Amino acid sequence: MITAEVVGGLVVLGLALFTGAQAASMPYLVERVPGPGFAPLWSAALMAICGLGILAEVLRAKRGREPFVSGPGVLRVPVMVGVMGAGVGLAPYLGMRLCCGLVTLGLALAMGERRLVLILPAAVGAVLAVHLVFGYWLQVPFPRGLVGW
Amino acid sequence: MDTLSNLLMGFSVALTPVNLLFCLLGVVMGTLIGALPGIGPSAGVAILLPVTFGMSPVTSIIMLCGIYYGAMYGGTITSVLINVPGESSSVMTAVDGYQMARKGRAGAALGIAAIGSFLAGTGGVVIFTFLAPLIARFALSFGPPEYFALMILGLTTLSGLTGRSMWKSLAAAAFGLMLSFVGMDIVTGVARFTFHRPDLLSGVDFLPVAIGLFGVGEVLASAESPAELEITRADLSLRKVFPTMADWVRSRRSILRGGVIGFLIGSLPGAGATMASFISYAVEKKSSRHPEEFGQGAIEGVAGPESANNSASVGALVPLLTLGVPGSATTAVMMGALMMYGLHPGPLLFQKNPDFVWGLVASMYIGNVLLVILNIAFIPAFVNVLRIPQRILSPLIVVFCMVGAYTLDNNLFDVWLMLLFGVLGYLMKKLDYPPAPLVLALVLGNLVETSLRQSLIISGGSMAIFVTRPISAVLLAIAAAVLLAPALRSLGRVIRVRASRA
Repeated sequence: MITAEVVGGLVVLGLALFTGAQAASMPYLVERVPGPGFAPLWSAALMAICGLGILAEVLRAKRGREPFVSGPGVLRVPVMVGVMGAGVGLAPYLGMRLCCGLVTLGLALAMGERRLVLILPAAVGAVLAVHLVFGYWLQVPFPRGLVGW
Repeated sequence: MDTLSNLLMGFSVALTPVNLLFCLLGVVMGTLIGALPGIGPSAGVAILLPVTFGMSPVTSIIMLCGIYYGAMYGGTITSVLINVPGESSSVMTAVDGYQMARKGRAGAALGIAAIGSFLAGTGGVVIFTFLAPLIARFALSFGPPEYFALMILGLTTLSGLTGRSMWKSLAAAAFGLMLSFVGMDIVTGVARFTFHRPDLLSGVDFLPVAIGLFGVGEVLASAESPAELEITRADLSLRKVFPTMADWVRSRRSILRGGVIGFLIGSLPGAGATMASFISYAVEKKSSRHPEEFGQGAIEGVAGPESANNSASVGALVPLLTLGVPGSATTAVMMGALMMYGLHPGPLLFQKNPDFVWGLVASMYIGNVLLVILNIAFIPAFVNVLRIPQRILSPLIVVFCMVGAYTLDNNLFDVWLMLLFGVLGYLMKKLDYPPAPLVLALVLGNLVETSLRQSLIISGGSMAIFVTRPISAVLLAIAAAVLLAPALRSLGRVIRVRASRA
């Protein structure tokens, strides 16, 4: 966990340096009034101080060496993110409504649910709910995809 | 007199069939969201916000507020029956509530929580009714420097009071500010942090960020070890839910104290329902004649914190509606929602949109009545919802998150953004970075920058304007004190240790 905390602090610091560098390329003052680079530069400075503070705090603290992720979560979380990403990526081709059903199905399976008697009604219910609330009532123009729905 | 006639006008708005229906829908959804562990009011409001896109602003905010204070009621159910708080402000309720359930008194615990929540929540709305117009009138004298100082105070107190590490909270707030700067600068037209992507020219909208951080992030975090909830068997018939005379006598002062503490703490930026419930529990334990009963099933330990968290949810609306500065994650999401509807929370809202403000206030009276009925008569129905396995519920939440993010601009880019912030929310949760300061900073970022620029135009570029105007100077001094408090505390500790050694 301490490694993850250190990486977290370094990411904050890196982000601060990157945004600070970007902000430095924008005008700082425009006619004595803060320009587009003013607020980002000061925010980057604040973030850099926080990054250093986090690193100092983490390195000083005596934290346990428990892993960042343990148990079934090691695989489950990336698989779930993958299912969500595939759902969004396929939405223009399969249609948003259908993808919602597939994402429900995929996520339930990824979370370890194996009872199809629960999963299938949930997936169909999700498709119907999305269609009725957003498609029909709110008239949201969802991507229709190759299926046309 | 003005206030009462405004309130009557508000009731005429809130009592229309559509507003009543959505108030009921909001409080039912809120109770469910509060009851389900792993999804709090911030996530609930963010996920359900897109559903309100087809409504008028007043109907929409009535429903969103219903979700907010409904969640405070709902959190009790899981705290008492499962010993798992539905949301963070119900943590203290679980301590004595679950012990009461184990002794066969779950009905009494849920009943006193519902009645205490109703009394304190309604009391909070009464105070709000008379106090908010006064604060709004006072705030009319605020100029850009005062607003800048107020928003800095809101950001620092929220960062100082949430999370275990102030560095991490401040880093989250700084990142939120960064995100708010993405897009075309409104004064100079310079594109900032857009990386040549046209989708980013209009900036990063708060909704995909909030849905990702609070909704998908929570789902991913809870997916690591999805648990089946074991619900304590309890008789929840009407007869058992009504408190006995002895329960009532023991709880009445706790409800009053909890209500007052809740409203005061809730009104402070950065503090909130969770802190109010913790303080209320500590006060009840200290003022009790039987402190040894706390932790063993003392009814005051349920009545006080539950009254406090409901009253705090009303108090939290004071800075949002009167000053335009949200003090918590949920009110930050609500502020974003109001801005999406073209409304600008703040003192002028009371003058320009009285039907909106007073309609909302009146709906809170109605919502509290609906909630006490729901939470006494329909508890078994809410308990049944808890039996839905998390492995089915979480995918459905994710689907609503995806569709909600898409609905914002009918654009898949927002869904990708939501997914990205979902992963970030998961990582932040794992590493103890609170997401609330990030969302608040994202919502307030542009306003902070605008009021800073306006202030410096007024002063001709001199930063002294922030310390020479008394209100902004006081607000900035408080913000500095909040930031420096931990450092001063540790310095004091070091001095004490050295003095004792000497």
